[in-house]
Amino acid sequence: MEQYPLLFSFSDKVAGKGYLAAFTAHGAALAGKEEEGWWVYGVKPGGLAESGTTLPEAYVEFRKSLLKVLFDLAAEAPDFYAFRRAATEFFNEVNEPTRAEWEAARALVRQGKLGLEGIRREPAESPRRIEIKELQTIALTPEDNRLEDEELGVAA
Amino acid sequence: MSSFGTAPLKEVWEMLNACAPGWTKTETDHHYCVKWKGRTYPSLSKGKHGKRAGAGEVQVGQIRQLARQFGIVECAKKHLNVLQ
Repeated sequence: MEQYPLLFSFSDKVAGKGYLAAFTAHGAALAGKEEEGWWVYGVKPGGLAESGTTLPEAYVEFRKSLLKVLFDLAAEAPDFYAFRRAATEFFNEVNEPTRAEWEAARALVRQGKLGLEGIRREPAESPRRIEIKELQTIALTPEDNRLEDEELGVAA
Repeated sequence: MSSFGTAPLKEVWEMLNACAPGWTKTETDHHYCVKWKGRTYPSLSKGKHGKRAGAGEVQVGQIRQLARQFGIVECAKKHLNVLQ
């Protein structure tokens, strides 16, 4: 199975109990190509995996699944701070076996033996994290309106 | 075995009983959230078939990632043929 180390970033919003949270996720994932299609396995966060017939389709499903986990956490959390704590814990849980395969694939990218056409290379040293802030209704401005902001790169 | 194969949720629960004693699950709006020894897998699919708990089928890729997250890959392989 061909495997590719991915770095991804995207922003979105989550409505909770009495608050609206905006987040930007900078994560890592391992893409695997099989005969039937593609899988995207989470490295950080490590608690999810999704599939699709193409890599973009699998990544979209992966991103949806991540967002649904955040929706579930928001539904359980009594306030913004509890949500932020739970979401950060979820995001920071690394899947170690998948990370080991991600590192091996990254080494191949660095050696020039592996790449994904159409996807740029990004330094793997860039920190993987989730940033979450509370948006209060009175603080909303037109600058908060944004189209989906996402990036996908091959770790090098 | 392809990661696109499936296994019944019931067999996943049985595997966890054998490989992750004391594991717990909660059903959320979108997924099953499975926990064991401080580790969490919050995104297990509820399955494609039916709403009855445990009636669905889960893709092998998700089960494999769950087993990796909990560090029980070798045990899981012994209890679920689809992982071999």
